[in-house]
Amino acid sequence: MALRTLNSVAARNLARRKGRYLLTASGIALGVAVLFAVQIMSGATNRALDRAIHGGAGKDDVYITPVGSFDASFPPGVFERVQKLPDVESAGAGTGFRSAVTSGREKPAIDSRRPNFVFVNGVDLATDRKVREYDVRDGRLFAGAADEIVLGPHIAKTVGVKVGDDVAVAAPAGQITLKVVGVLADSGIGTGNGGDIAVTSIPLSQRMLGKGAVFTSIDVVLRDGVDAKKWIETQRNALGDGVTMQKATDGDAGFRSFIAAVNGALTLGSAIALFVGGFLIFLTFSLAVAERTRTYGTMRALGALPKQIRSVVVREAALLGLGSSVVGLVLGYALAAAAMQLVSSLLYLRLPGLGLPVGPAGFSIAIGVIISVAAAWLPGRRAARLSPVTAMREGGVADDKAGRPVIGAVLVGLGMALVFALPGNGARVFPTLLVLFGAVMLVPIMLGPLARFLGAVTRRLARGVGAIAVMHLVKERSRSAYTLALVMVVLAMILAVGTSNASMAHTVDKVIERQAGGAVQVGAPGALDPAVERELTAIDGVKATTPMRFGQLDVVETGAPPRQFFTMIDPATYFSVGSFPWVDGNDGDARDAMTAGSGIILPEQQAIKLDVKRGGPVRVRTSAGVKRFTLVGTFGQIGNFPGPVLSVKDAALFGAGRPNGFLLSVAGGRAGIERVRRTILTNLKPRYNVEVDTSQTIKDQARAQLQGFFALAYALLFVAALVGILGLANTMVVSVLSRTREVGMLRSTGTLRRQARAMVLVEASTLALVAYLLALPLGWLLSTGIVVSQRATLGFSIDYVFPWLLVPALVILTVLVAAVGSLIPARRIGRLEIVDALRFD
Amino acid sequence: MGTEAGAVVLEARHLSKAYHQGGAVEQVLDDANLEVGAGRFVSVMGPSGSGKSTLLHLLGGLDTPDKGDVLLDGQALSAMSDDERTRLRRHRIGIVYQFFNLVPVLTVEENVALPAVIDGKAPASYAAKLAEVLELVGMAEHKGKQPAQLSGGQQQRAAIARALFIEPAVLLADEPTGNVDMRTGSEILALFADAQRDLNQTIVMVTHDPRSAGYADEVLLLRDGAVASTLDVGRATRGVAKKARDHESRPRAVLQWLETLDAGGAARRTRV
Ligand SMILES: Nc1ncnc2c1ncn2[C@@H]1O[C@H](COP(=O)(O)OP(=O)(O)OP(=O)(O)O)[C@@H](O)[C@H]1O
Ligand SMILES: [Mg+2]
Repeated sequence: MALRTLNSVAARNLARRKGRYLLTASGIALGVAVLFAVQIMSGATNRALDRAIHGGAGKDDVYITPVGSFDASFPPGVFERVQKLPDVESAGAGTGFRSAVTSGREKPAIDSRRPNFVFVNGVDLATDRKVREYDVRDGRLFAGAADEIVLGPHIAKTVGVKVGDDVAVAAPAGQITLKVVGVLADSGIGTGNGGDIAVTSIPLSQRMLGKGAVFTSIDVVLRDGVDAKKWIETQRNALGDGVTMQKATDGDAGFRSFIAAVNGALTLGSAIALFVGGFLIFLTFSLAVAERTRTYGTMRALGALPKQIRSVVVREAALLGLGSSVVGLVLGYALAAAAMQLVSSLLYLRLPGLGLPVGPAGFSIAIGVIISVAAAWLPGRRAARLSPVTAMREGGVADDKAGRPVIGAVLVGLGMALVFALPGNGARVFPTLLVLFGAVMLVPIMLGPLARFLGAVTRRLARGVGAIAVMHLVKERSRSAYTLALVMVVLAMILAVGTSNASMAHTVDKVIERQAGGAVQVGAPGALDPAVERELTAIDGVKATTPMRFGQLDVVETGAPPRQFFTMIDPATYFSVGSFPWVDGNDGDARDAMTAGSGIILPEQQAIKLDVKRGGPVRVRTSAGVKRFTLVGTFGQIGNFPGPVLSVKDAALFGAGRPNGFLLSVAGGRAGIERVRRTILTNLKPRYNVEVDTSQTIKDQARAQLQGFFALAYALLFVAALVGILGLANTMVVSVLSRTREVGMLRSTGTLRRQARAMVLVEASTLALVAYLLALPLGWLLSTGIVVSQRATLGFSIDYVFPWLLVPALVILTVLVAAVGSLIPARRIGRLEIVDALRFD
Repeated sequence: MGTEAGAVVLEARHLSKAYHQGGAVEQVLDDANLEVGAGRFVSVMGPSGSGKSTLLHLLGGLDTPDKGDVLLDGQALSAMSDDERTRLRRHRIGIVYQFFNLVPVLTVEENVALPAVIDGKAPASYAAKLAEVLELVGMAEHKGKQPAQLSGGQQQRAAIARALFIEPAVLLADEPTGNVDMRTGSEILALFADAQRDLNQTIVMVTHDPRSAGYADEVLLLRDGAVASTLDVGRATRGVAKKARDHESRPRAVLQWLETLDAGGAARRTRV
């Protein structure tokens, strides 16, 4: 190939050092893969949510529900008033409740924990068809008020029923057997609640609910051109205080924000993966420029302009970035497919296929190329600025300045301050990167002394010549410093994630222990017949019971999430069965205040957000208008359970009637708990379809879910660790290459092959161990930041627990990284023939 | 040295070495023979590409011949393992190259003591010897400097100090003055001559410069892969006054010898 332009030098450079560029390329490929995978996943989860909400909502503009408890229904006359409101095109009322279905053919197994929950919706087909599409896949829709039901496609599949089969539906008024006459298609209403839906007539639904001729929801279609949000603002008070109005498409805001939190964490992960990948490119190009100093000097002497030289370097990077990004896309697609499997099984969320994400693919490639070019920019500039004379002199470029410790320290400080000050989701990415950048700038000044210190031990790996390997690190800092920084960042991230994992696991244990210690929880998807309590108390071994009620609550304060899950307790009995993991407050005071009424207990993080202290006011929307409640205490909370806690004394204000579940205290330890659990399942499940949880199963589930998410985090870290190894291997290869003649000389002076090989190991392990030492404080800094921001995102207090076991475990990992990173270069050295080494140029 | 004067220290027997590049085979050495007596200073000359460096590498055990053998103190190098040859270099052979003799990150002192460092010896055990060789080559005042802070001549002195540090059976040098100016070159050659005279050091030096070759007792001409001719410099300049001999007649003798050989070579070429 004839050399046409200077730019084809870029391609030749890439072709010449294939192995090394392959290492670099894999770094950026992995970064792009993670970025792409995260985008696909967040896209898919959002689409899944949109589909569920829009499919279920249809043309519906506004969705009106009663305030408060899940068992609440509209007072009479509300539907008629809605129909008469201005700008209403059409309105349809329905009666729905949460339930569970089982196939009528088989008796429910006691130990089965099949997620067969459905939302049963009683509708008036004539009006509702104007709002939603009713496509039936098999069979037909229900006729009149017969004992017939139509199932959504997903629940039909989980329960394993076909048209013509009987199903047992757990209804608040008791178990009832219905005939399945149709299965909905996966479109329109069939996509509502993720396909876990059942539709039937209003009269049948009202009969199953057992509260008479009541409605529980109203769908409103507005006239064309009317804005739903504005309409809600003006009509909010027209229906009185007992109802909540929301835009139909705003459904599931809580779940959406949870998904956003997960995506935020993943975005942070991909930002770090890209940072590390970009870093690797920077490293490779810095080394390449140093190595080709003489080539560039010759080109400059022959009249190449500085900008031509820079363009050679930058083009090389762009080419590399493009190639590896494309590979990254393929990897990312596979990664996303695997991760989606995990997420959907953890969240019981059905996600659609990945599709062909063209936008994210383009974006990921662009980012891959931009980061590659940006990373090569500095080395390119350095190459362009070389004076031909310096460049051609033996020895090449002088060692870099010793980093920028002052800027580094400032960046670390600023980043940490921001982590504590801006505890949002996406906002976390920026300060974390600041801290990492700052830490990287601090590395060069610390490398020398630390390498000397650790070298006293590591040099023993290579008898005699080990000291020379350590000297390389001490004296040629610029090359080593950035590799070291790379390994340091990876180790620090592992430490930080490990810490947040340990802290969360510890907190989950502690909170669950205090909240449900020794108790058994009995619940049903809908409301329970009060008679259940008498049956429960009668069971041998049950010491005490207390009823629980759940619902959705609007706290009318800035900063409070809309329609959050709340729990209603009976203060007379609750505290003899359970408690709260109090942050501020105690059982005695809480019982007294809740018995008096108008008391509320809040999760600590929400109280902080609302800026209210114990004894302070909290305004809440009730069926009698916005009322002031008094904060009785705050407690630590995991997830969204129990949420704000109200007293049964105020039940009327929230439409709360029948309990949704019971909490039991049981005698006889674990065996007693197990006995009670079995008795409840045998006696009560067939009639009420109750679910029984013990504190142990709840704890196990919470822990399993937590571990699932951390598995995802650790998978990302594994990728980062791979990149770290690649970086180290890369540097060691360059280090060995650039010292080929020196190695030849050492060998000719009597250094054995194995001594020369061991020198590589000494250098790599010293480097990695210095990285480890620096990663300890950095990891600690990052982990405090992460734990603090997790507190804010997840809305519960996390105790900081440092995973001391990780400290020795990471040493092993570090040595492993060094050993793997030295493999290729050591092999090279071992194979080197002295005569060839001496001729090497 | 432990070798009795006149005994053969280094011997090359029927050395052959070829390089294969692509399909082509280049026979660089073809039945080359030589003997170096204890305390002798032998110089190897020959046109560029004649295989001087190749020969020196074989003599130093840096490379292995295709055929033939090298004997140091009567021990055959080919019978040794790679590690044994390496240890032999560490303890018995000193080598000085044209350039890049020193490890850039080490000081002069550390570079000179390198064989002992590689051996894992305690610094105290060789401190006296180290001071002695540094003094000998005139580098004592520069012992704390790094190679980049030294002139080319100083770098060569440090390299020679390292070669002498182990009291080698033989000192091998490949164009040790090729990279320095004439005056510095003379100083370096004087160091070799001193080492031979004062320490009875056996030396084999490759050079293409007749002036440098004149410092040796014996000059070998390498041509067509073998030693084509030998000049005994002492005998050729017998009778010349010592002072004139060193600086004028010795180089002149080498030049004359080369010219006669070249004429012969030219004659042979025309015959073909
Ligand atoms: N590793 C090698 N691979 C291929 N050919 C080689 C190798 N080493 C040497 N040669 C060839 O062998 C021949 C002799 O090389 P050598 O370096 O020994 O010559 P020389 O006499 O030292 O030359 P100069 O005076 O230029 O240093 C040359 O033609 C060279 O190209
Ligand atoms: Mg040569």
